[in-house]
Amino acid sequence: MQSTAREFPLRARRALDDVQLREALAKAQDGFVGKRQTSIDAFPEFEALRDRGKAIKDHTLAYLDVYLEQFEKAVIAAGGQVHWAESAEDAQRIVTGICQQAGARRVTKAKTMAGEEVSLNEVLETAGFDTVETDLGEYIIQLAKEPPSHIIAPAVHKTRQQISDLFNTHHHGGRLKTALREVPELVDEARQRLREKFLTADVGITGANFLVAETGSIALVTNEGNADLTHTLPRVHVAIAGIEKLVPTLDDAACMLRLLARSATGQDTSTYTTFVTGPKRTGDPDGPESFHVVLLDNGRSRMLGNRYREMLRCIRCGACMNHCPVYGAIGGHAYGWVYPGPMGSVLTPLFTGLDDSRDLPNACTLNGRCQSVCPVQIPLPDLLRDLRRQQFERGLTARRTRWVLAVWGAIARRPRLYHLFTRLGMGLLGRLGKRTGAFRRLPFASAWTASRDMPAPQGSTFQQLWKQRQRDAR
Amino acid sequence: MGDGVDRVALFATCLVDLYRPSVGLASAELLEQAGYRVEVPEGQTCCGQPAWNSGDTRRAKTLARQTMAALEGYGYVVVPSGSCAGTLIHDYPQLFAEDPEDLGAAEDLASRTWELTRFLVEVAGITGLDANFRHKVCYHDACSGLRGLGIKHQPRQLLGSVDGLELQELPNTEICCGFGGTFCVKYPEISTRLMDDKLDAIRSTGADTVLAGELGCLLHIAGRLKRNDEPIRAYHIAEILADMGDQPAIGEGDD
Amino acid sequence: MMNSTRERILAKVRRGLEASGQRSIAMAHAARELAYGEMPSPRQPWKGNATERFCQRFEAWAGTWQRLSRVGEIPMAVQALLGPEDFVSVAPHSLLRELDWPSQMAVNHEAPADCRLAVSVADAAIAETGTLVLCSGPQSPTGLALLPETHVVILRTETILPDMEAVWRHLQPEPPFPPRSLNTISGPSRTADVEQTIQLGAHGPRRLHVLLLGEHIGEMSAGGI
Ligand code: SF4
Repeated sequence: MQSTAREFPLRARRALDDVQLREALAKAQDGFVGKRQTSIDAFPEFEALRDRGKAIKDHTLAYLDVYLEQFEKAVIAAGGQVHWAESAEDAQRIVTGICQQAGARRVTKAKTMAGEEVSLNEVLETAGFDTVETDLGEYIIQLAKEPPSHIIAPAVHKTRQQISDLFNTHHHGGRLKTALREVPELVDEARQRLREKFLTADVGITGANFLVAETGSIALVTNEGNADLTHTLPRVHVAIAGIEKLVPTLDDAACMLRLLARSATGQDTSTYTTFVTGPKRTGDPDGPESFHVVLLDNGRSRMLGNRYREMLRCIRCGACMNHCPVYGAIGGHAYGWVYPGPMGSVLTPLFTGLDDSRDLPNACTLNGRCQSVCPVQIPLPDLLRDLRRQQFERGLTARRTRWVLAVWGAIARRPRLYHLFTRLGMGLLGRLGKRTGAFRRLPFASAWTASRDMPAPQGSTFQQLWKQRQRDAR
Repeated sequence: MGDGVDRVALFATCLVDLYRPSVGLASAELLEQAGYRVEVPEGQTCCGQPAWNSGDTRRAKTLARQTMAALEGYGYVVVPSGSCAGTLIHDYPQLFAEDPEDLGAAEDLASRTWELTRFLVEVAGITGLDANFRHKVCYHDACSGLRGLGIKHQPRQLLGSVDGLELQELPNTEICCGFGGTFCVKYPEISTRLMDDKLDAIRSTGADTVLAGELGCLLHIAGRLKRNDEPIRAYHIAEILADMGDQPAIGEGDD
Repeated sequence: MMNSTRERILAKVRRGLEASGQRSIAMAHAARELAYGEMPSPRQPWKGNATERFCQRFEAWAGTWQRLSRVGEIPMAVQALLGPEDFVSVAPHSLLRELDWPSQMAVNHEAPADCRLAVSVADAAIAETGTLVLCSGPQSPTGLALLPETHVVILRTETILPDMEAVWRHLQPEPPFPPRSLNTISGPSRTADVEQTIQLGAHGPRRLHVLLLGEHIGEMSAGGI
């Protein structure tokens, strides 16, 4: 997917003005936050579970080469094939090739963020395959021709009315007299439409929530069951996953699943958690004839060598965005690429370049809530700050910011000068603001005063008053 | 406590120094009430947090070294701000992680540094206060103190000893008010949206006063309240604890 | 070409890790033991016996269940769930094949697309989360768990195990493990993609009903119906 992160300020402002979006986001965030909290309150050792989740991922990443080879061997032993993709283009070529070889016409897809990352839909559609998203949220935004705005709930920004309109247009040519209104009607309509597609698909594409090294299994997590229909009914199953998705053992997967379900949706477990190992076996009544795993690097191996290795622990649960005030205010689209919110603000610059996403590391108050809920304890604020450091060093920081820092730094590093300047400055401002207590407007501070008054200082500096106090005491 | 009086360095922070010196005086007052001898080292200016958070490591280091030097030798360093205390406690050691020469001093300072309310409760063990404030108030948990330093019950416990003060809990108190240091001027529209949500929460409590332990948030809150001509007033918690609640609130003028 | 990509990625990974020399799975496993392997994962705490816990959690997922005292009661119990026109698919499982099925219930090796109700046999269940475990295989088409409107699952109480880890220990000794598809299922299919409202029957079954066989059911006889 082409990044539009450059347009962050514009898109963010537009999002702030979108009343429907605002309602949808408020409702969604309240729901996600509340449900997660309830599920964690019922799990006294949740912090220990987070520690373990972090330990599992840290260990796996430290031996990633070993586990990748073990996984590959196990997949092949189970009759599957492993493909290595260094870049998005590699992945596109591999998947298109598999579909062509299968003589496919229709391809069903279960939600895959790695697939979004390499623009699989566009590529498959261009290559002439009828490509259908089957996760209801993904299906809705596919009809709307929009990218996902949340990694767990891709259509979180859409209201019922908007979904109803989309279905009417796309399923009934806009001719439906009484529009579908209720949630059950809408879900049912999608169920019927998509059932047809499931039954006639030649290739099914899924992501993978985890790759299990010891068995060569991929773990798939859904509530709808669409991933299972996607890998069971067509002749060919392709799973695409980042190389960081590995865990060593099935036991480790069990632990990670406890974290994932609670962090993502506040469930103890998702409705369907499936471990797929290879294609249909002799005697199996159903299942695909061939099974492919595409292991995607696309910049991940580079992150292993620096502090961004921590980001590779991410299990794509979405908790960070659910608890992010900025995401809650502007939604996912403003971030401009596949991954929104805090995790996206770290990943997008790393994947698409710091230059094209200058705002993302900065559009954060560093309030730290994302880190406190992240199931694998990724220090997201520290990583964002480190991206700012890189920006600063490469001269990408806004000129105005650099200028203010230089002036402030020059004064603050000279305590005498600082005390003199601040005494004079605050004395002046204090006198000017004494009557009203705050300024409606101030030169050089319009970014503040556009929407807020600037409280006036009391007039003396603390250092001044303190000296006075010491003198008086003597 | 040696001779019964411990030397405490008050690191006032630049915002308090410039904007609201009464917060510094109030902090000193509270520390003295608790039996400490308070000093305000003159070499202190700004802890360097804005530079650090903007990725300007070089300047952050300069200011950090200056601050570390100014605060050397004190048994305790007390800061009336969770975010600046957090900078001394968490950020300096990170900043000098690869400079062995300074790392020792950074870690030493970190181990001596305390946010004011936490210090008063956990070190000074304050139980009673000589303060009264007959108002319905709500307390805004600033993010850096709340998550970075575990400051949650300490301010509430202290406010419990203020005569006449009725504390109303804010809904969604974990949510940021949108100040975020330079964030509030880099993304003013988003910042203001977050603030408006915070103001909704504040209003919903029916409180006439909002308190916090973080002057940055308070300037932001007071600035928006003032722009909306709302009668809710804002004070730093130290001012109320030190019984200085009769002076003009933040952003309040003579008329 | 394909191969060189593989080598390149692995080389980049090793470079990133600053890993040199021989690296083996044995080394990795030793490091895993040291890091966390010796301790079990924290679980959701629960009291009482596994069957009770399973039933209680399963109901919370909007699953329903009833107790049977004999295998022979299965066809009757299934019939009671049927609408007049419904077509039934029964998994080709040894437990089910022997039974006396009425005429409109066909033992099927494949799940027909229009099947309204399907019957399969669970290989295990997880008490911690109220989850059924079904392994694909000659006796168990995966489609039966996905395509029908109603999915009926036979569960023997002695296969209800405390947690997922225990399920692995239980199934591992019986190859082929893992099967092509190991499905763990907690309630009927659901979605919250329309305005965060939970709606059952998204793509999979709208209804999931368990027929419990075996001991330890105690006073309970049915739930969630
Ligand atoms: S960064 Fe953490 S909280 Fe965010 S999606 Fe990844 S794992 Fe979840």
